[in-house]
Amino acid sequence: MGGGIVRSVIKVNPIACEAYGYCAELLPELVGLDEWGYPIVDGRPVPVHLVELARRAAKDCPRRAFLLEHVVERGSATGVGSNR
Amino acid sequence: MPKRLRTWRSSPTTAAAFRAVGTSDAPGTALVTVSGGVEHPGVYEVAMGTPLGSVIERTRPTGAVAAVLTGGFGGSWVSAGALDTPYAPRPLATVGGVVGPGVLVVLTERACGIAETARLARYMAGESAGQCGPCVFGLPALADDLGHLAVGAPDPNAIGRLEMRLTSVDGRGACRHPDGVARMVRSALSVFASDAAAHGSGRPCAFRDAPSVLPRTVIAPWAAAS
Repeated sequence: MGGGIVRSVIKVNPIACEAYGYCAELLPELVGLDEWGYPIVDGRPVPVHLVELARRAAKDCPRRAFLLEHVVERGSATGVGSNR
Repeated sequence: MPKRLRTWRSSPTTAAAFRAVGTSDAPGTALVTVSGGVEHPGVYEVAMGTPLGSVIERTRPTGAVAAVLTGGFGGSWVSAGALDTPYAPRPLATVGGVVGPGVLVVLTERACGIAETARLARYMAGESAGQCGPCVFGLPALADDLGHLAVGAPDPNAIGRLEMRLTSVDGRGACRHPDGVARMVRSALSVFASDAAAHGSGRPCAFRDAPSVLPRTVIAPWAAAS
């Protein structure tokens, strides 16, 4: 390992999530809601200029279900896990 | 003759005997549970690679086979055109089927695939652990949509809405329960595509109210809910 790009990825804990919807309000660029109000995220890395907002969304989630995780990407095109 | 199971399994002669049946990448036999429109539902031991149609033939279908649900209630429907397919993971995958837990449900031509899928979806909604929103709300919504479709209520958006909800459910739970239901419903919309289109434009099937061919455990909760 060593030497890689650290990227932030949004994860949602579907069990903890109770559809408060704050995340979609704070970060509409990256979070959509389904018809029942549960967040839809695509699992792609968070663009640098949105990381601060994503951190805020994670901090403000009343159920602590909205998580900002950091993954180290080795090389150029290592896959970041999909939204599971 | 070896007495302990471990010894038995590692015995080269036994392994050779096991490999003597089945296919090279799916050796041996499998236990397959067959239910639905058949005279003799039950658990059958079949050599891997036996044509799907031959597996079903042993259980004596009650009529011409229209489709088979492979891989259980979270599996995938395959049409009767695929009955020559060998029962093994790889060949089944080429026709959209799965081995999964080894459960087959036979649909005869005197049953409505959409109505039966609606019942399956309703049962699976009831089987949810109730932990994640998309499963708690999504599976009953899928079952409702399929139910409306089966009844033949004219609704040009019925299939579009179903497909939208399938994406809302697929991969959105902590476990794979909703994914399995989405797979099963998707396969129904493709195998019974012409039925779905007809029902959505207000032409229900002649077998809409026919008794279900599904096992009783599946129908009972649905009947109570409707």
